[in-house]
Amino acid sequence: MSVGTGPTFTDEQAAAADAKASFGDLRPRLETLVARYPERRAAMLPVLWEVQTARGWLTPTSIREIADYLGTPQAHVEGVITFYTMFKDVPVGQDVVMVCKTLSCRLRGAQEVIDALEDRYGIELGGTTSDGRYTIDEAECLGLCDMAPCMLVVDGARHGNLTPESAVQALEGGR
Amino acid sequence: MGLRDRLLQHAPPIGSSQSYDDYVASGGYQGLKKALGMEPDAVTQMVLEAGVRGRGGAGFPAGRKWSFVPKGTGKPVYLACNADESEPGCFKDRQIMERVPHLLIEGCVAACHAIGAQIAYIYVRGEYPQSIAALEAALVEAREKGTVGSDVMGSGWACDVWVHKGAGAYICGEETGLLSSLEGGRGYPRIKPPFPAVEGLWRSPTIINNVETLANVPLIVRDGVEAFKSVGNDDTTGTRLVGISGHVENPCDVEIDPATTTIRDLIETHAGGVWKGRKLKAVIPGGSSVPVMPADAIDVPFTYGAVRDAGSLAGAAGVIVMDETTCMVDALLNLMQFYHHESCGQCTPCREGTGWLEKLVTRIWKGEGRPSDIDLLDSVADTIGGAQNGKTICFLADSAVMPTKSFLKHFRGDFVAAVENGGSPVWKAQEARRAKVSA
Ligand SMILES: Cc1cc2nc3c(=O)[nH]c(=O)nc-3n(C[C@H](O)[C@H](O)[C@H](O)COP(=O)(O)O)c2cc1C
Ligand code: SF4
Ligand code: FES
Repeated sequence: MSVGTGPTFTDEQAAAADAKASFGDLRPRLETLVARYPERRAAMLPVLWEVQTARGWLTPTSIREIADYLGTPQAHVEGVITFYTMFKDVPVGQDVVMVCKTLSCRLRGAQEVIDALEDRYGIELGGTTSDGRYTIDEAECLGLCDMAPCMLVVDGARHGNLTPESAVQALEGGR
Repeated sequence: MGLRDRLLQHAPPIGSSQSYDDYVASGGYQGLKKALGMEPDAVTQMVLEAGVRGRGGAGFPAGRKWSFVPKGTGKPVYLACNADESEPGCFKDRQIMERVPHLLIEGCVAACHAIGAQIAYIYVRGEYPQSIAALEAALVEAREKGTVGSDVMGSGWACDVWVHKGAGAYICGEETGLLSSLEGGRGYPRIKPPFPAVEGLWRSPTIINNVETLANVPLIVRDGVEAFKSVGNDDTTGTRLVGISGHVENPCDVEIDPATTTIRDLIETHAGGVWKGRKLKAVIPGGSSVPVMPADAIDVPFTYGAVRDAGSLAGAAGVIVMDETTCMVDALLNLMQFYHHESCGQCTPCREGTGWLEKLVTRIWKGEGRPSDIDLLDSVADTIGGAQNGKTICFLADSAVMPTKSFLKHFRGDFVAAVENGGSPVWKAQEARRAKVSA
């Protein structure tokens, strides 16, 4: 949640995300997750993932519903979301791309890859392409140093041994 | 030289995952079968005698850790498998999870039997969807075939294994941060004692082990202690999986005999040598948190003891190679950005200190450094660590200190040059490129 800078999304955007999946429909799957732990609250990360995947991002309604569902205060759910970089409480592109900037990738040209992506889409890392297709985040070591420089589509493909050209191509191919 | 496939002996090539049938055909689940026929303490004793040390970085003997689980508390016991693998330069656990997922599952179930647990959680970083998919698919098979579930291999004993997906936070790899995260909170590390073996998940005894540590367990039980110890030496028993990345021709992951493989072998024989025919400048042998080594220090076997005696640590076996053109100010800045970003903020020395380190190195990198900044950097590094003495809750701050101190010790010249010549060559090149673009 951005504090003090006003909302970074509109009510319409939130409503559109919520409309993608009703919490009731998600429940049967969530029940199987909760059953894996001796305490409901432990299912926090799995539940956040399920809801985020279904709706694209974690809307205020989602946060309320998850808090109720797990029997924990909303402030706790928000605190968890903001701790983890892969949870999003603002709208993001259809896919989120994580571009590694850490040492093994930097040694093999990660900065040039990042510059090329920023140039191509006219955004800085953390931004979303104007067509809403991709949010491009910077990432710390993705554990793919054997294919450095590299990037990962969240819950999707990984792209390695990138050059500035092949990085752009990999994303253009997915449009 | 020193190549020794054991964990990955029957692993299919990168990109595919071994099925249950293929795993069983190659001797899989025999270790578990044997373990189930043994007293739990006898399994722990075997792991103790095998001498296998934790592959997550700290190198603590697994059997000893298991023996700390108190008996007769009436509380459940849990196993947490650390598959967070977020240390820069490390990518070995991924090989096990993606290529031989049943080996890890078998290791988890056998370990549960030994420590008296009936649930194992495998905490996999969220950035590993391929590992998660391979494990989930293997778990479906394992439940179907009865190697996981309500009646493990017909023994009447129940054991569940669940994959728990992280969401992007390095600190969740620290064992108590992992527990906080598993319980559904922020991944805040906890003060020790109590140690997790006594009071971990939901205040119950919990054993936390790295993926590779647990993957060794079925082999120890199946083939016996002597067979296990036939690779390595007394200090480092068994094989090690090592990732080699950075300025090498062929970045890769290899399984080696640590007693007969030197860091030079890793680079020259296994990774095709320093790339572009260049000379070696520096090596970080154990993942980003360990001291950097100069090029002339690498003729040492990859055992815990030998690398320590050479001034660094084998750690989590992520070998990062830097060639003669590398600006060490730029490399250190990259690491300090990482540690500052990943500090969880609970302890003032770590939260503020990693910020200071980043700021000071940035200043030198951008040509705004004063000559006194180099000593200042060194002395700030002296004040921020200290998990050993209770100054910080976990070792993250120390993990930023070790690179800083060693970079200054071995490559002070690069820092002096950056101060005297208006910044790091990398910064200057970047500025020139940007000026050209905007012109
Ligand atoms: C900041 C920090 C990050 C860590 N990250 C990992 C990790 O990603 N994977 C891992 O296995 N161990 C990691 N460790 C080490 C664990 O705390 C712990 O020692 C290990 O999981 C124990 O398992 P082992 O004895 O089998 O090695 C980390 C430690 C620290 C201080
Ligand atoms: S040392 Fe740093 S990362 Fe570890 S608990 Fe303290 S603030 Fe968090
Ligand atoms: S440094 Fe980029 S994947 Fe490891």
